[in-house]
Amino acid sequence: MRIPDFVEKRWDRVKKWWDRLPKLPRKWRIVRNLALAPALAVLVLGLLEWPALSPYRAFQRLEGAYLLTPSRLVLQVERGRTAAYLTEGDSWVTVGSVETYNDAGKPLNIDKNVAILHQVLPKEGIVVVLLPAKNGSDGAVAAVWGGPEEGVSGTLELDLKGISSSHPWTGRVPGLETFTAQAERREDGWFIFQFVPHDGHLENTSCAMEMLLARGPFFSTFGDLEQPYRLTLTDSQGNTVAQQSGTTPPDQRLQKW
Amino acid sequence: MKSIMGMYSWLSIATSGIRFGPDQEAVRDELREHIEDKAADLMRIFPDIPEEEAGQRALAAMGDAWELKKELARVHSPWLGYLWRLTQVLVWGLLALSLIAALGSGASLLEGQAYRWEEARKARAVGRALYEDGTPDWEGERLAVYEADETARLGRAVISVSRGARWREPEGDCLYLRLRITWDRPWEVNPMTVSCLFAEDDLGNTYEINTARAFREGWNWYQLDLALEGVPLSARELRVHHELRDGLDLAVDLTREVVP
Repeated sequence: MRIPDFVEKRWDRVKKWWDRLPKLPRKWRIVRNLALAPALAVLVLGLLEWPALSPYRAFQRLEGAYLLTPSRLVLQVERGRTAAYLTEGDSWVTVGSVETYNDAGKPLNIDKNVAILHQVLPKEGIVVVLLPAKNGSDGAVAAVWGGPEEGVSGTLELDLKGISSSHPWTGRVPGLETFTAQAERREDGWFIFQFVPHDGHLENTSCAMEMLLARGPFFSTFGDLEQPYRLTLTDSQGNTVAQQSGTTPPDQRLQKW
Repeated sequence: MKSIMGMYSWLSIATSGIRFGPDQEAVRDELREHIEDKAADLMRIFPDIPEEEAGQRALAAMGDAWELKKELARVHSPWLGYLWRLTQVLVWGLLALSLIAALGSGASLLEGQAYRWEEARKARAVGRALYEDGTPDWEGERLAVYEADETARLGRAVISVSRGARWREPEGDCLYLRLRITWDRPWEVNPMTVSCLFAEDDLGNTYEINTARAFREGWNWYQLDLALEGVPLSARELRVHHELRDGLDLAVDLTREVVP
């Protein structure tokens, strides 16, 4: 295709005008470009609404937003595009999750990490929490803090109600199932309990554990993290030193606005 | 024709030591112009000389191409050129990215900014009415204005109370406090954080922080004129705490009355 004469003439005129403009020496052009680059980078990041570059950073950012810093990472559980974090501060315990999704509707679709703080609890007595992501065997992960120092081993029983109403496609779910896990106290004072789903369910029946958080923490119902439990802590001789039963704390769902 | 070919081959050799392409081209053009000028001069001085011979003489006067190559290679370090090119790519790349990002979220960002400007304008007017001599656009009577300049650090933020005023409104007495949270990191700004704060007076009453007359947002701060309902006149001090953690104890003296 031939470029029309008037376009070519205009283009030549622009080129001449451009050539007549005073030019900076190369060193100053480098300085100018280096000064421009951070300003443009800030503009790009601002337009992208300051994306968090990793799930953990998104979680830390949310902790900072709610003034829950400094904190220490106690446990991280990752499953697919979901990551759960358990952190502790001087006087509190935080349980959060980050869901990574791709905003395909936008021209520059980088992964977005959306964080939620599910629980922020005071470090008082014995704290029992259920993490909002499951382990490799599709089992729940629970963490316990506190109790008498001589309690070195723990047994945690979880009573899971079958969450069948929101999952009609998964078949029948038993009404109530009890799961048991054991753990030793770690050096940092925490017990981490790893649960596994039950085997041997009838055909067309799912395990209640598999149904827990089945839609991920972001879309799961508020009640998913709120489950009845019984905890027993024993000393090195096997004697019971503490017992506690109750319901794991409700989902507070603190998010950035 | 021979002299032209000779010139181009001479130019190629002489400039081949310059490793940065645009520089090589610029020097090549400069040398070519120089040779052509020299040949033109010769033809002007000696009108009988053929063009080809003038070209050859001009080229010969330029010296040995291989020697010049070494000299030019020594003078023209490529690194400055590479660095310049790199910064050019960086700037153009970032410009392209900002354009793409603007296409995606520019409109909503502009809308958000317009909303913030409007809220800031309202907050200024409310602030003047609450603590100074402005006219309120709501029903009420100012009873007292308190001097406050309290600041506390919590996590990566600073919480401050800079103004206080007591109002009598149709719904009852109300204590207004101008509270600001300034985050060290602008990406942590979160208006919802104030819902995790609560106030407690010296009489033991506690107040949830969930109502405000106005709010403003800056690049790293969020400010609101809190409305605490039912704070008794006998309360002499108010303390702001964080509901979810220890470490915040921001005291506001309710005895330091000032003239608005």
